[in-house]
Amino acid sequence: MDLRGHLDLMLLATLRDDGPAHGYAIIASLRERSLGAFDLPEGTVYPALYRLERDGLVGSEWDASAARRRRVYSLTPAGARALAAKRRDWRDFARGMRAVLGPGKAEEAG
Amino acid sequence: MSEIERYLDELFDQLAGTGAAGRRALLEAEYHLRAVAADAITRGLSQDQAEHEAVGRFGPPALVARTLRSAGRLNRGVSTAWLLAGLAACGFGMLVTRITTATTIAAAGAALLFGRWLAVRGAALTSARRGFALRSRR
Repeated sequence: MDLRGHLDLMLLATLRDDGPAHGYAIIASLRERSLGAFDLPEGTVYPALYRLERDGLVGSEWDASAARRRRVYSLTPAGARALAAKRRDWRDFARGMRAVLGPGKAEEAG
Repeated sequence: MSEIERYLDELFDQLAGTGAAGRRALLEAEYHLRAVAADAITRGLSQDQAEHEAVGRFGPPALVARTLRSAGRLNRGVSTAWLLAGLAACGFGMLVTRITTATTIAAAGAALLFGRWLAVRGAALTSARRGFALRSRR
């Protein structure tokens, strides 16, 4: 399953549900929550986080309390608004696909 | 040298020229790889196996560097847009200057012609007056 187009939505949702977290914890949570569907190279998730940060949807700061320096990411208010909008889009898309495929056809396609 | 060390060296080479974003990515990659390896050792893997798994899951250094560069591409796009806007503003400024200069030259030319016309007219009037005065005296 190609998740690249949906990575931003998944990252924002993970940060909303788990709260501030460093990259490794975000990716571990993504793996767990996606029931194994998450199969991207983990190193490619960081550039997505940088992009979200540059767009003001995610904030980050170095956590000096850990033995090694690590960057902790959190959802910004703009990120929360973007997540709500993306969730609406996703639900509309999923509803449309279900209507076209039907439950039985959707299972065959999957 | 461990597999993680080798990986980080290669990633460092691949990230050449990416500046602060690359330095930050390298730090995060090291933290990530060591955390994954530590988890794998907890699951019972040897150090070598754990590092191999961590590096394999992170993805090839070239791919990670390429993704990082493409994520920064939008910034360059924005810079290009600003550059184009600046060039357009400069072009507009030059056009305005050119129009203003042309208008000034035209105005100066008109003033010169008008002055000349006044001078010629003045001389003609003076000559006419003199001729009239001479004729009156006769």
